[in-house]
Amino acid sequence: MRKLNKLTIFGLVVVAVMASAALFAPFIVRQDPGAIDLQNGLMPPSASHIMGTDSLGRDLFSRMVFGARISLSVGFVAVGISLIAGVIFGSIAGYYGGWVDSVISRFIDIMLCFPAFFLILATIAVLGPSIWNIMIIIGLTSWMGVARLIRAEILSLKEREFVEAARAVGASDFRIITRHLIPNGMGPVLVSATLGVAGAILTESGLSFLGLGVQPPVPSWGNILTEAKSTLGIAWWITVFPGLAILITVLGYNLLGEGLREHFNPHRKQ
Amino acid sequence: MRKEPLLEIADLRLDFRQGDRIVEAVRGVDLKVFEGEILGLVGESGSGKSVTALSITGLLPKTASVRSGKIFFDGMDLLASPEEDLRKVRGSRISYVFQDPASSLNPVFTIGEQLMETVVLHQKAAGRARAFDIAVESLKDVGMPSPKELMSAYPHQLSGGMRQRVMIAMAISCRPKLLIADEPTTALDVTVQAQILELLSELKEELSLTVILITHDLSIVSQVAEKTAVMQQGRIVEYGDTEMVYRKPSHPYTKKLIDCIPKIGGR
Repeated sequence: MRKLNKLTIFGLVVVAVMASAALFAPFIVRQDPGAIDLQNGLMPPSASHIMGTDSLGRDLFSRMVFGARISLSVGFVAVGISLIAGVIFGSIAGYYGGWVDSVISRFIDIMLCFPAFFLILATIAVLGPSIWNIMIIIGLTSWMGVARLIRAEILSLKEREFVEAARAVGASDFRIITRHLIPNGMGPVLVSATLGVAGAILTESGLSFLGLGVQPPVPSWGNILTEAKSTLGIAWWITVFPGLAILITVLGYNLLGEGLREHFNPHRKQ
Repeated sequence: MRKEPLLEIADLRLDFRQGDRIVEAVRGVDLKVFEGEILGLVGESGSGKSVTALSITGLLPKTASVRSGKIFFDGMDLLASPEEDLRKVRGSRISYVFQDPASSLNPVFTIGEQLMETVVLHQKAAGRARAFDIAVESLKDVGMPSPKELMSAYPHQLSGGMRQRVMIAMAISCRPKLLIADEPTTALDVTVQAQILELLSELKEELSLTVILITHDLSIVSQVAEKTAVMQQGRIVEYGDTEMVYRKPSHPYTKKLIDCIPKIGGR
């Protein structure tokens, strides 16, 4: 096993820390993230509130940790949806080729023509902002890259002899695709999925910041930032911490994804 | 006593489409294979021997199509059978061993998983435990030492000869009647070649297999096959007992092939 480089390990650590913060949120925070304490509004970071409080006196650290839950689960579920859709469309296009491939590939081209963010905004405007809608819509507007990747992988894999050998022992098309081709082609897809999580977190934060994402009082990093906007001049901490969290998490996922891509690249110099 | 042939190919004609061009790959092949014999099918690259073998269970590439002819296997009209039925035949009653064992095994699964796949595909009733036993049994059949340990090995951990044995184990795991070996020894070195050929003859006796051995090397055929058919440009130009073909070739092409076999201190 080749060693991972330092940046990749940094990415891995960031991802692990953020994920465990999200998973064990109730055990980490001391204050209820929804508990309002108007007496202590806009308190700067101190021993009792390590990240300070917001204008309603809610503990910012608690809200950040619970916000990690929302932001990360949006990232994961959205990428999960885009993986499923992308792998299904991509593998069908790659395996069957011909007109099936043409139809799916043109559909991918059409989907890529839409500016994704505006498509998301328009859909949310119609369906209403809820966390599930956001996950589904982000997923359904980001599967095209995955589909293209897996299509390309399968195009080359299906010419390999073990596919013919599988056919020769009586495996069906479905079995060949799911058992033999997809497991062999998942490497680059998983790398791009890692990068996709970062993109989904950014999209969610952007939507929430615009008020079209996760709705208050449920905390997400994006909507904490929205609330921070009005008090930016007097309470820097409400802006800085969620901003930093988004920055570091996205950076972490990107470094991890880049590192994995590099790690699995057979042309890399030793 | 004349037996009914296990496999009968009658006037098989195959085309390849290359853009607008149509290339005739097989131009009227007649071939009978009787139960319990090893038939050597010899010919140079492009003589149509491999596509003939692939067409038997409908494994032709998309660019190729059968124009005319009939293929009967054990009373079944294969060319007229739907894909669904062919799939049941493949691997269970007719199985293949291909040229390159390195690329015929799926690199991401263990030997065991791949062996068990074949068993489970054709014997749905058999549970995983039963499939495991059958797979281990097949590995024993092909003379693999410590078959149980081997089940959890990955293809890259095996040598070429071992991989080809695994492929043969996979091919015989469902006790097929007909084994089609397409250049099974070409990718292997000479000593391993001899072992694999010996294994094929042994298996033929033990499991009453019928084998079609496809090769471009007449010396291989002369070692194991009872019958020999020589193909050239999509036709069978010579067919008969291996002894006779070897001693008294009637077709000039066969003579040339025999002359190609290097002899030590050759005259």
